[in-house]
Amino acid sequence: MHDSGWPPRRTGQPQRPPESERADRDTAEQLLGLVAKGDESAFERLYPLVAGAVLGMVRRVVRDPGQSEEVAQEVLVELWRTARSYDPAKGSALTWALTMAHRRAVDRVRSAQAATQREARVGAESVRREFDEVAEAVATNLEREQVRRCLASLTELQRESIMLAYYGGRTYTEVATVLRAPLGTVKTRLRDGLIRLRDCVGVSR
Amino acid sequence: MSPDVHTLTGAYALDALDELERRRFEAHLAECPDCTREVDELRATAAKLAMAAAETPPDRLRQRVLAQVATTRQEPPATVAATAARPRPPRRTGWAVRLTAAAAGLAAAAALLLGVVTVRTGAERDAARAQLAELQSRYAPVAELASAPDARGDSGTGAHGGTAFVLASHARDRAVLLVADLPAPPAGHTYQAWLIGGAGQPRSAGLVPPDPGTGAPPLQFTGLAGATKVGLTVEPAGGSPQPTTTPVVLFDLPA
Repeated sequence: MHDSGWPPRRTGQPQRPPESERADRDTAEQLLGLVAKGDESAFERLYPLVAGAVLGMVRRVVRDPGQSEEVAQEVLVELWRTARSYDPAKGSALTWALTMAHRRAVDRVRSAQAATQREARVGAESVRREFDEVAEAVATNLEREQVRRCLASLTELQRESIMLAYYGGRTYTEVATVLRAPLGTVKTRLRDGLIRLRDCVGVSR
Repeated sequence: MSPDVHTLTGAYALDALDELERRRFEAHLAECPDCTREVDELRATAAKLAMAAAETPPDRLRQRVLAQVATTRQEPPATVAATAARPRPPRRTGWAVRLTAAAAGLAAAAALLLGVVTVRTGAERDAARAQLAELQSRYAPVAELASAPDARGDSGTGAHGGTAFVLASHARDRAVLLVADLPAPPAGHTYQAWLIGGAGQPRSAGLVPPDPGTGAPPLQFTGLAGATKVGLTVEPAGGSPQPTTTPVVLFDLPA
């Protein structure tokens, strides 16, 4: 179990994740503050801090590379356009950006046609493959190692529900169908799984 | 708060609720600080899942984004939820007043609506005149409807900028919808208008014609009975039987 996560800078500790990330986060928030005042050069500096995660996640959800870039572009421009609506009390700048991005990605895939297409590949086999694919990709660098490790600490149903919902862009009703689990159970697993994940990765606001 | 509702924080933070449940839950969130705090934390957790999926973006993305940013105006802080929740200021008939006056001077209103640029030269003036004549015929249904004694208008501001305006006459069971400056929908998508309220699901009021520059007449619709709100959502080209995205504009249907 992670400690409380505060104070933000614990000096002399060799372990890197929370500190380095927090340093980025402060920067992202300061930059976003400047962006809100119309500072384009601040946006250029903010871009590398958010673009990789935005694109990577959108790609997991949308899958089609061209459409993914389109959605990522929309989201990144939206950051510029709506920077003044950012409320630091609600979370980090990166969380804000990624919340917006996930919402957009989900909107994109959850259109009528996309739903039909996804229906077609909803078989358990393909879901398993999708899951493995994500799990593999998730394990490819150090920062991801923490997430992978924390995901591994969840029950199978918690983990698969979360991954299908988040990376698959599915509603919990769809998740329940795919995993052949009762609706109420999936609803609960999404929450308690996320809470366990929260405690494991040490999210603090 | 019922434990059942609280369970939805997880699904909500993962965007795993369908549209209807999402709206219900958001209404609940507005009066549940505990849920809001939990949602914020769970969203931060979900963001970790996104960070874990980070990849190196191609340079063309950066170029496109920066190019678009250079020509994109920033929005004042505003959200759909805030717009919908706050009681409307008493300027609700602003557009209607303008439009009703426009029954006499429609071109002026059309110019106002579509933001025709300042006219400087004679050639520009001629072009503007031609454009206004064209607008006049296109907006004839608006002028006609504005002459109904009970015609009322109301407008809403888009979450991402722009305005939508509805002029409605319940006596004639007719309404027209005009939009201005809404961001272009993503490729292969369109804005669809919905009548919301009364019993049952939102009802489609039709697809919003693309950019006014294409010469399409404004969207006209009927079947106002029971509806209390008008919303616009982004839908795949051709429209959807039910909204599949959050409304980008949501406002009261004039009573």
